[in-house]
Amino acid sequence: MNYLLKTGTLILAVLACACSEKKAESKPEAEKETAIEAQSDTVTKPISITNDVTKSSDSQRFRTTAAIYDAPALLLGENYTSAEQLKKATKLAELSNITHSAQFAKIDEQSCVLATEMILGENLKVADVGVEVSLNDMQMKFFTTQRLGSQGFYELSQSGESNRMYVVVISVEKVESDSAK
Amino acid sequence: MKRHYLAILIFYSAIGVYPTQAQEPEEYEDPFGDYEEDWLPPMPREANYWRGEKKVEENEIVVRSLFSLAQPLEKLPLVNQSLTRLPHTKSTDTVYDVSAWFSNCDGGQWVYYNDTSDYLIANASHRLRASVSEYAQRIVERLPMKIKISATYLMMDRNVPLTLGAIKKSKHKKVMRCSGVVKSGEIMTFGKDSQQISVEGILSYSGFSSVIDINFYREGELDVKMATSLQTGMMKVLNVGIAEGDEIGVMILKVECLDMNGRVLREEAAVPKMEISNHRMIREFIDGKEYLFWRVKDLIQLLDSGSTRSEAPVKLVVNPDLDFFDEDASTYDVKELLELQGIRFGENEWVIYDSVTGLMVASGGSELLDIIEELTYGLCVSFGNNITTVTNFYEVNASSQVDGNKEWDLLNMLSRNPILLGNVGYFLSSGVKVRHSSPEGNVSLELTMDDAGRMTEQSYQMDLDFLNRKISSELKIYVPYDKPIFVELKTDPASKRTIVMMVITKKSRIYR
Repeated sequence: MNYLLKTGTLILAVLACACSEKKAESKPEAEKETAIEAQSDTVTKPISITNDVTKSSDSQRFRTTAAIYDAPALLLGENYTSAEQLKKATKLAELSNITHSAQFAKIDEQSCVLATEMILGENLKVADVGVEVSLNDMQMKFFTTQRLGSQGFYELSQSGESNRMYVVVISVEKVESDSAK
Repeated sequence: MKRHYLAILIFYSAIGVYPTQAQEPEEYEDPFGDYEEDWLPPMPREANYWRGEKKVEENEIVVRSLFSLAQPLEKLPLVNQSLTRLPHTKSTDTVYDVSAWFSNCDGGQWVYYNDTSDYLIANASHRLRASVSEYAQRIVERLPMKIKISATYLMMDRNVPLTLGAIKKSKHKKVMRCSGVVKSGEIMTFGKDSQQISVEGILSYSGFSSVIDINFYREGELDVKMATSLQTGMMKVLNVGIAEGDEIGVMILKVECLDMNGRVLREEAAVPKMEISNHRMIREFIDGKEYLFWRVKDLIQLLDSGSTRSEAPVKLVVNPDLDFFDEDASTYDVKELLELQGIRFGENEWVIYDSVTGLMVASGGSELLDIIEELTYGLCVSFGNNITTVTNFYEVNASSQVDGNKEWDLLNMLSRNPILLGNVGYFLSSGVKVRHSSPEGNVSLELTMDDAGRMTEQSYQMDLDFLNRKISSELKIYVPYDKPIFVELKTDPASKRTIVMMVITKKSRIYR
């Protein structure tokens, strides 16, 4: 009898222990959901600024855009080359200047800068683009040639400790005129 | 009165004409000759062709991917796409009929240009196909190229091999990294004043090589510079910068040449089906025949550079029926060009050159191939080089009086209880000076190659502190390639230990 009592107590203890473990497992799950909800509430929207310096609606206007991402650092030897790869990245800002060819434009906010000058090539398909873009501690300055409608990818990782990197995507496109619409 | 006027007229004519004659500017000829031809957009022309062994009599659809045409297209007739189905063409694309440009486009043949997808599409026999290929080749040569530079600097253990695969598996510390696409000759800067990366690249005319100038800087921590030429399309893993003990600084560098569509040009994928080294000439027996393979860009211009001919004596080869070349290759029979260099070809001996991949293939007897090999070497030596130099600093037991005059070598070093204090790596060209800084100190190296290409003169300025051993020295040494050189720097009489610098210099050739 004493043996049966002891065995029963042991089984109950094991069951109780198992139940408490299950509760312990499920509790953080619920907490996690709440945390995600809380996080999604606090996610800041990317800065979005469009600066139209043309003040017109003619057909020879061009939009130079710098989309700035906080992206996972890639493996050695790999680069970001398409928008598809940036699905897991966080867009921090999208800054656009709308200009005529050879017209300088600058967005200069407290935390971000985009200065551009694009010059359309004779064949009307490429543009020489000078860019200065900065956001917080990130800054890039370069002069490139880009096909209208295409994207150029620029990466910067300044801190060796971080698994993140800045990715800036530059695009130049023709702005459809109002009459064309 | 009339005489008076006449006298005045003669007087004014005399004083007027003389100064005019004196002021008339002398006529100088443009030293670059008739430059207009270079500026005009290339127009199609009937290509000089040699048919090869494979017969192609029927028309076929020829497709060439271009970025744009230099000529205005607006006045050309548009193609009615409802009547035809073209490759690389959507119903909304704008397609022009450029057949009128091709003098040998007749008998139901046509050449169209899709101005939306940028494809030149032709229904052509071998004659027209030769003209289309030759025209496309000349257009592509004039299209702009961009340069993509990716650089990563990291610290790792010196025992890890300098390969990407080995580094990925190893424990390493990434320091800085950048990547971007710029116009050739422009500087790209990343970061702000306290930590900054600057990168400049200048692409060669052919796009096969580039001159690179890179600086990674972090205030008080790091200053690494590189200035040299590089082959495009290839990744370089280099020991660069100052590191203490068993660590080394490593730069992973890749320079690519891109067209305006973002496609990578001059990459290894362009190498023909046979595995042929990209950087040297090789001779091989295949099915009992001996072949010579040589990769060189602009061979035709290189061989024909001194002539006054308007066009090089080469023949476009349609379907050379050789497996060495891709389908899209632009192959030329360059036998006549080599004959002008004094090389005589016998029966069944030939040489074909693909101007897209820069691959030359020659077949013939050993004597012929010997002479061609000599010629290839002669042309190669004028190409650029880049140089890697690594200086390792060891502390070893000082020499005793008995072996005091013995020259330093590896065995001698190993027998003296060596301790590795640190190392500095450099990547540079001849005539260039680079400086590195780190918490361990500063160094600079200026390097020049001798004319024979066997030795380098290296001038160092060092102010280093590795593991509390101070090394301050200015020295000039002569270093051969691929052989370690030992330089005794200083001996501490108290500890009877000597600091020795071991220098290893390697050279790699750049193909333009």
